[in-house]
Amino acid sequence: MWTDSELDQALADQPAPAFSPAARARALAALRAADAPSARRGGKAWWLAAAAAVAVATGVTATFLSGGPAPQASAAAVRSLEQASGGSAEVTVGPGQYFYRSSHSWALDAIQLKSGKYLDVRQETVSDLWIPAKRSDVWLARTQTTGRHTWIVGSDEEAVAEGQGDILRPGVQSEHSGPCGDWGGRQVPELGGSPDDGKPCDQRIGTWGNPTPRFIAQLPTDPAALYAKLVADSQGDKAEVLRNAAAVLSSGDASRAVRSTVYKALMLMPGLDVTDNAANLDGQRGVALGVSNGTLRQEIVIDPASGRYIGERLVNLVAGTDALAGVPAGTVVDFTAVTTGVAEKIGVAPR
Amino acid sequence: MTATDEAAPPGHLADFEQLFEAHADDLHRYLGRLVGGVADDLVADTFVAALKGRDGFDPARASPRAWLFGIANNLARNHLRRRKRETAATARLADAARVESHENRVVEQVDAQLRARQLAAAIAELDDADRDVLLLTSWAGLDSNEIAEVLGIPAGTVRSRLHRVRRHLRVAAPRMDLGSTDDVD
Repeated sequence: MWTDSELDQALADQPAPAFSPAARARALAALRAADAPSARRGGKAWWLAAAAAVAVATGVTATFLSGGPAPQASAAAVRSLEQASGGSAEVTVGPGQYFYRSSHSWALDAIQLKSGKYLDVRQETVSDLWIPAKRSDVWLARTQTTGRHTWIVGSDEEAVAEGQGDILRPGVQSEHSGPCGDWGGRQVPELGGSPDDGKPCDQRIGTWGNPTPRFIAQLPTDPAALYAKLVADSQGDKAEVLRNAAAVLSSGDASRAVRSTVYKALMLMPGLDVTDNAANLDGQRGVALGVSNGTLRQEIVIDPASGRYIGERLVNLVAGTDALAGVPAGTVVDFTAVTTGVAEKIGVAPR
Repeated sequence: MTATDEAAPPGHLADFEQLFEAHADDLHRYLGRLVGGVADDLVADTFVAALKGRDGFDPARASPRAWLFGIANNLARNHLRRRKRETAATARLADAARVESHENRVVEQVDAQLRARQLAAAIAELDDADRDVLLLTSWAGLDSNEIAEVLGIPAGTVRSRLHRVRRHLRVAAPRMDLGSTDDVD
């Protein structure tokens, strides 16, 4: 049992991100823009309004590309998405089998030094997940931080000199298992709670990031309606729209028809363009489709021929500031390669 | 009206700009601990919602500060319920989540950090009503009367709830098994 002072200290020690001058200025600008509706154009309000207009214009029964809304993505992006929507194969996980997903990521870690300066490093993580055909059975997640890293800003020597040498430590592998993805048999708590708290496995709804069969079954089957939902649920953040779409594309519970609809929905995204025709993610080659917010570009990488989603990238478009100070424009700061399949045995990757 | 004038409701943009100057940083600190880097957006959303809902503000019932924290608290609740996925990306690059993830690697070696993480897991398991009272007290610095205004409950209920939740956390938080909260996918 803690003392009152230990509790107070633990409360005070909860980390709070800094309110950067740029973010503060943006918040103040949003306040001023809200007071001048006629001048409001661009940003979230415009984006949501556009999505709503799409939904209103088409209705949920609109037939895409035959009386529905015109594509808003670039012609090149639409061509790739059209091909992918026709190319998706069905994923079938039979009784006793496991849906297998492996993610190989090089993720950015920004380490703030006492001076306020940041070191930026990409660190490698390999995560493997086995989901049983019957979701209430035992799942297995194996995560390995390999210890491999590549510096974008900084070096091993600088990290050690600044007292951040633990970043150089060898990799660690961890395993978690539990029914329904409840590692250790205990539902993972979430700050603020969740509608799924205490629910039986087959009644949980999940989220865009962790969709369950129920979540996917409730998605609109009309591309325009699905697009409107993606935008609304992502608060108009285009990068989040792409990531949420990708989570469904990489789910073992998304049928060929669902994935086809997701690809068609993405054709409606203004600004979505082919950014790399030969993106290489961990040896898998595909077409990168990205949207930019002016400083960062979120991309998903797909193989149009097979309709497979094979990963995502995040690209810094301008000379970085704050946590990305010193990161050159055009740097891929974060990427993940994803492979999926059907495994016969838990803990064993399919061939 | 000025930001410190508690008698008149804010009416014009200039009033809200003063409220922004007076409270934006505190709101960000509060929201940031709850929702991480999304706090940047939620601070903006809080002031936009306040501006648009200015007619509903009753200075006889709540101070502007309590009113703003009430709006922010509702936005944070909604956000948390949407269960944002935790993939590291875009807006989170500059926030503490990244730095925190780095700190977490050495957390087991540092008692204070371990306690903070145990407490975070315990707070995550509180129900909304208990969490609101605890955090509006500890992080927002509101007193029991202000929290009563924000939450629409009697001040006596705030005090008794706060006492109960603190006692619960002092007992429960040290027992949190952090191993089972490690997310892996």
